[in-house]
Amino acid sequence: MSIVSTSTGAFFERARSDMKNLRTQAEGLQAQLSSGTKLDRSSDNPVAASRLRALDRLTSLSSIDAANAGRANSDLTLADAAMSDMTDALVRAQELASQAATGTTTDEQRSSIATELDQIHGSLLSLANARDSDGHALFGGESAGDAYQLDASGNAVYVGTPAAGELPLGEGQSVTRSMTGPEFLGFTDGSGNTTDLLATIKGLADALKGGATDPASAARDALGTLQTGLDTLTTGQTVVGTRLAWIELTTDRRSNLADLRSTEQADLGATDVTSTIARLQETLLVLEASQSSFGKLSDLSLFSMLH
Amino acid sequence: MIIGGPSGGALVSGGAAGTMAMTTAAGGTVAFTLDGNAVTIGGGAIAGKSLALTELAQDRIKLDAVASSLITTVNNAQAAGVDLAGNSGQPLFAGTGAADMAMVASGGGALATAPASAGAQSRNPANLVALRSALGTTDPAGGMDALLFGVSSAVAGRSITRDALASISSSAQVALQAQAGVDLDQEAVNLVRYQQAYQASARIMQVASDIFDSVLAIR
Repeated sequence: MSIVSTSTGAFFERARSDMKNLRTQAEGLQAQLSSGTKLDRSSDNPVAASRLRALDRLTSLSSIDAANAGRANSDLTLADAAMSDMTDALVRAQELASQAATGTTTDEQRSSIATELDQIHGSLLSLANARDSDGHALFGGESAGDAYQLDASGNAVYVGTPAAGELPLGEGQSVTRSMTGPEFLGFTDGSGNTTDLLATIKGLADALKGGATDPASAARDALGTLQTGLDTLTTGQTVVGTRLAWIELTTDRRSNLADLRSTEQADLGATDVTSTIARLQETLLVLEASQSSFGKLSDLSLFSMLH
Repeated sequence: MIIGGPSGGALVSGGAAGTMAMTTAAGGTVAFTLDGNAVTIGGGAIAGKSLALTELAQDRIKLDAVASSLITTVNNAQAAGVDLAGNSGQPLFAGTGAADMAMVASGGGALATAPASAGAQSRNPANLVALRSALGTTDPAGGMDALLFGVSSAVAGRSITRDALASISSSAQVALQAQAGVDLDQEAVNLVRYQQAYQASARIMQVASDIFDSVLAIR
C-alpha cells in the first residue's frame, strides 16, 4: 500500500488557505446580517451603490415636496375656513338687506341695521386679512403685510400682489397655496361695474345711514349684488376645495412612488435575511467539518506510533 | 540588477551601485530617476503606492471641478437676485475648489430668493426656482455620483485583480511545498525501513563474527 505522495507542508498550506477562505466568507455573511445591508462599501457593487445614492437623493427631494404639500394643505384649509366664516357673515348681511328693503322698516331701524352692517364689514375685513401658517396675509398673494387696508374714507383697498404663490409638489406638479382677495371677493355687479363684497356692504351701510334718498330701493339693489358676491365667494371656495383634492392626489402618488423606491432600495442594498442565514449556516458547517477533519489528520503522525 | 524593465538602468552592477531618487510633483504624484534618467517601476509596493497617488491626484481634480461648478452656479444665481433686505445677492461661497470652499453668507436672510425686480421682504421665490433649475443643469450631485462611481469601480476592479493574484500565489505556494517539502509519513516509513535494514545488517555482521569466532575457536 502506497502512502499519498504529498508533502506535509503542502497539506498544511492547503488546509490553511481553504479554512481562511471559508472564514472570510462566513465573516462577510455575518457582517451583512449585523449591518442589514449587502453593500459595505461603494466598491462592493459600484452600479448598485450609484443607484442607491440616486434613490437616497430622490427620497430627500420627496420629503421637501411632502413638507410643501403639508404647508399648502394647511394654508388652503385655513383659507377654506375663513371663506366659510365670510359666507356666514354674508348670509347675515343678506337677511339684514332684505329687512331694510321692506317698506315698513323705519329709518331708525335702518340706521341700526346699518350699524350691524358696519360690524359685518369690519369682520369681513379682518377675515380678508387672515394669516396663513407662516404669519403672512392668507389672501394677500406674496405680500408680507396685510391684504386689505382702509383708505382715508374707510374703503377697503387691496394692497397685496396680483397672484398667490405656488408651491411645487414634485414631478413638475405645483399648487397655488391660497387665493388673492380680488379673486373671490371681486365681481361685476348687475350694472356692469367692477366692485367687491366689502365695497357693496359698506355702500349699503352708508345708504341706510341716510346717504341715499330711497334706502329701501338701495337695499333691494344691494340684495341682488350680494347674491352675485355670495356666488363668487362660493366659486372661490370650490376652487380651494379642488386644490385640496389635488394635493391629496399628489400625496397618494408620492407615497406610491416612495413605496416603489423603498422596494428597490431593499432589493439592491438590504440583506435577504433568510437566504443569508441559510448560507451562513452552510458555510459554518463546512468550516467546522474542515477544522475537525484537519485536527484529526494533523494528529495522525506515524512518528507518534513509533517508539 | 536592472530596474524599470529590460530597457531600464542597472541599480547594482558588479561592485558599482546606481543612485535612485524620487521627485514629488505639485499634484502629489511621484516620479523616479536612476542616475538622473527617468525610470518607470513596473511592480511592487512602490509602484502600487505611486499608482494610488496618481489616481488620487486625478480624483482631486475631478472633486475640485464639482466644487467649482457648485460655487459658480450658486454665486451666479445669487448675483441675479435680491436678498431679504432687498439688496443685490452676495456670493454664498468663497474659494475656487474643494479645499478652500467656504460658506461666507452672513445668515439665512442673505439668500437671494427673489428676482432682481422685487423689493425688500419679497416672498417671490423666482430666483430660488432659477437656482434650482441651474443646479439641475450643472448637476453637481450627478458629478459627485460619477466621481464616487469611478473610484468605487476602480477599487472593485483592483480588488478582483488582487484576489486573483492572491489565489495564484497560494496555488504556487502549495505547488512549491508539494515539490520541495517532505511527507513526514513517507520519511517515517523510510526511516523505519533503513533502521531495520541497518539492524538486520548489523545482526548479520554479528552472526558472521560469531561464526568466525566459532571457527577460530576449533582446536
